[in-house]
This record gives sequence, structure tokens and C-alpha cells, in this order.
Amino acid sequence: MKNLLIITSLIFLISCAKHDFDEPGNLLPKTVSEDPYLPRIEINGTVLHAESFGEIGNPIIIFLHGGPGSDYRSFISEKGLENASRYPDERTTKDAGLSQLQDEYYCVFYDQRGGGLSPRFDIGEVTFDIYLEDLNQIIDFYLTKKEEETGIADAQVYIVGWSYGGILATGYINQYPTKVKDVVLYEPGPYSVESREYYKAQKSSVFGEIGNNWLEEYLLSQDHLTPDGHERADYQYMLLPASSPGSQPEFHSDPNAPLWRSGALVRRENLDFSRSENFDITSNLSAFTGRMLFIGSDKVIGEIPEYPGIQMKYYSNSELITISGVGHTGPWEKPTEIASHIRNFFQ
Amino acid sequence: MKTIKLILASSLMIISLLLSAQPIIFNDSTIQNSIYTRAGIEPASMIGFGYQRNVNANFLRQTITLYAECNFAAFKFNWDNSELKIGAITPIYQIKSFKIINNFNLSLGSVVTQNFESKKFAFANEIAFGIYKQKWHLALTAEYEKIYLNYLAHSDFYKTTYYEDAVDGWYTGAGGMFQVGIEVGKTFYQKFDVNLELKMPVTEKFNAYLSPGHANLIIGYRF
Repeated sequence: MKNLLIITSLIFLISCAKHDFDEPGNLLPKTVSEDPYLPRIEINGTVLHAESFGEIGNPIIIFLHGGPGSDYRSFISEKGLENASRYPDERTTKDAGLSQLQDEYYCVFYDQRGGGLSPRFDIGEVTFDIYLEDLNQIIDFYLTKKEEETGIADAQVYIVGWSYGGILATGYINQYPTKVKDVVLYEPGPYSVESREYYKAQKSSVFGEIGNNWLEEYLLSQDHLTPDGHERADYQYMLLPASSPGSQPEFHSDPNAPLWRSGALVRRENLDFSRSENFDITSNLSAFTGRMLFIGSDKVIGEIPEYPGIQMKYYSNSELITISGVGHTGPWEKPTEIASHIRNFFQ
Repeated sequence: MKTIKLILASSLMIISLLLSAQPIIFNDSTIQNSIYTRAGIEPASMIGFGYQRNVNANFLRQTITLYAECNFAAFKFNWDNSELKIGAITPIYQIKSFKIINNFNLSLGSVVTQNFESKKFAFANEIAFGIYKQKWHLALTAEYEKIYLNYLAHSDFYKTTYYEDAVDGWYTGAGGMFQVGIEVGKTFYQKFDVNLELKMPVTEKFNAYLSPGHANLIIGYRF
């Protein structure tokens, strides 16, 4: 009887104290949809997690993070310093990472829809065209803000794109070639069929990874939770960036590079054209009169040496700089060095 | 060559995803026990060890096979990445060799990842219907597994790199999984069983898994 009482009490306690996998804030940080205190911008019929640093009178840089589905946390964090909290008030370092450029530029960071602390969207609700329109409206918003607050009527911004952000930047410049002055791309994802095929040929198949730790962990986790809800899908997906040295060894990423959330469902969209046979986001790049700086890490370029050349040829005026001792997470690992190159290039 | 390797690897993965059967001994009145080992993918690569015993359930007027098994992740072979399962197999309908078999089990699983540790409590029920002869069987299977409780503890890595306020504790709502498949088994020399099962899993909301199938190969010994 005593044992029965203990067991019953235990079951009662557990049932009272349990949490819900799908309740926001338990496993992953709340997004702007659930947390009214997060910094935000309202554009294109949605609210996106966004913040800006610096004096609005300075030239504007728009930063485009990777993914698709990731966020800008690594842009404003720095290896060896505290990772940027999702609450700006709780950050002890205000100019970490590439946000250090705020002393000369007005730096705008935002989480693309479906990723990071921006709202989640169901499958089929996010397209590349929507991403372009979001970016266009963000640029217009800050150019208007600048004119209203300073009287300076700028018509152009600078763009810094990292990984998938490079695809988005290129797609944007292809569509709005006069709205961007110059662009810096840190190891941009493939934005042409040629560069995508070259990259895929260098990449190992997932089937060859059977038995490797990262894949086993990911598969075993599927026995413990299903990816049916946004929260669960994102939470399970977070195992992949955590295991990037195993799952994407060619990137030489530092797995400690922080992020708030990687949107699993938005990653299933074809936003990087990886499942497209024909796509075109470069045919109008000749109308772009600005310059492009391709920044690559020596570790990644060592794996895919022809990649920068393939990517750069779509821009009529481009340069290449290599950062030594880092991989794909270079902007988080060596932001001061990269910021210095960005300053020199934009001047 | 690369395509062939890909096809072979895919086939192996699909086959491995479908194997999860165990020797059927309830219709063998000459023995009472069986031990078996399984290897397969469901969805990670697994190695399992089991014991089952026939008991006569007078209230049901038939034999029930009770079993217990322990499965380990093949490439992470330790208790942290394992699953304990207890269950019962019993025929619920039969006409001559055609039988409908019910297999109910409870499981306790553990996994340790870079981001979190999870202990899960789940139950599953499988219905198999097919031909069950003395020395072989062939059946189609349908299974539903529900994860009804997890205990999650997040790693320091997860809290430092991703989410410092991640909540450790008991969780509900992890979801469930449907599987349909085919199962074949044959007994050699009256004592040795070889079983193969292939299953296609989907979540309870019909979303796909990374692995398209589960497969198990089981070798058993009756005594």
C-alpha cells in the first residue's frame, strides 16, 4: 500500500510539473510573435526581428545572414566574448562582431522571415520573391528614416551577405541594381547553376555519413520527438548546426558560433534553389555598376579552390580577399579583421 | 559508379529501416523460450538483444508470448543511447494458418546528443496479419507508437550557444509515429529463427522522417 502511494504521488507530481514541447519559450527562445520586448520592424505585412546600430546620418549597411532560416546572432557576437543575448538590454558588449562598424556606418540587422527570432511560417508561405520584397522594403524604410531624421536623401545602401545572405544579396542586386552601392559577400552560397553544380560535386553524400556521430545523434533523436510542430522541428534541427564539423566538414565551421534559432520548415522551401534545375538571379547583374568583394576563408577555399572565381565572374567588378585560420564562421571568429576589409572596401 | 553506390546505400538504408520483427514462438508448443538478437536501422543503426517466453493465459484460453529486449545504438553502444522494451504478443483472430497477431509494448529510451539528453517513455501497438505456419510466417504489419513522456536536460553547450533559458524537465507532446511494413520469418533445424521486417515510418501528422524506412534482421534460438 505504501509503495502504491509513493508511485501514485510520483505520477501525480510528474503530471503536474510537465512542460509542453510546443509551448514557445521552453526549448527555443520566443520570437517577435510571442515576445513584445524584442526589437522589431514592421514591413511587407509582417513583423521581423531587427535592430540597428550607429548614427543614421552615416552610410547604411544592410547585413544578410545565412541559412536560409538562420539569424544574425553570429553577426553581432564575437568569438571569445559573450554571445549576444536575445535581449539587447542584457548585452554587456554593445559593439561585438561586425556591429563594430557602427562607428562609421549605420548597421541594420534583421532575421529573415521564418528564421531566428522572426515569426515562423508554414511550408509554402515563404518564397525567394517574398525575401526580396522584405529586403526592398527594409532598405526603403531606413532610407526614408534617414531622410526624415537628417535631411540626407540617399538612394543607395551597402550590403554585407554571409553564406545564404550572398544568394539573397545577389538576387536583390539582380532585381534592383541601382539601389546598392557596393556589396561584400562572405563565402556566398551558389547563385548560379554552374557554381551550385561545382559545389555539389565537392560535397560528400549523406549516405556516406552512416555511422558518423552527428547523423546517429540526429536519427536517434527522432525516436524521442517527432518534427510535427514548429517548435519540435526547429529544436530537432538545431542538432545540425551543433554538429557542423561532422555534417558539413567542408565548411570548417566553429560549432560554437551562436544562433537563436534555425527555422526547420523554412529550410525545406527551395529558397536557395538547391532543388531547381533552372534559375536565374544573375542575368541582370551587368546593370550593377558597383563593386563586389568576395571574402573567403583559407580553409573553405582550400576545399573548393575554383569556387570564388566561378562566383565572382557574374560581377563585372569584383575582388577576392582570403582570411587565414578560419572557416565558414569567419565573421564571428575574426570580425575585426573582416570589418577592416569592409571599411577599406566601402571607402 | 556514384549512382550505383547511392542506390545501394539507399536500398540498404530502406531495408534497414524496415527490420524490427522478432521470432514468433507462440504457435510452437514444444518450447517455451527464445533468445534473439537484432540488427537494423530504426531510424539509427541499432543492435538489440531479447528474451521471450510463452505463457498460457487461461483467461484468454491461448498462449501469450511475453518478451523483454534491450536495444543499443550500433555506433554509440552504451546505456546512454539505448532502449528497454517489454511487451506481449498474442493472436487475436485465426482461421487455420491465417492469423491476426497483436503486439503491445512499453518502452523506455535514452539518447544523449550535443544539445540535450532525453529519456522517453512510449507505448506501441502493432497488428500483424498473415500466414503463420509452423516453420515460417509472412505478414503485413501496421504499428502506432506514442511517446507520452520525456525528460529533457540541456547541455551547457546548448545553453551557451543557443538558448540560455532552455527549460529542463518533464515534457509531453513529443508526438507519435505510424509504421506499415512486411515481415517474414523462417525456422531452421527447429531451433533457429531468422526474421526480417521492413517498415515505412511517418509521423502521426504524416510528415516524413529523414530515413525513409526501418529494417531489422533478427536471429533467434528456441529452447
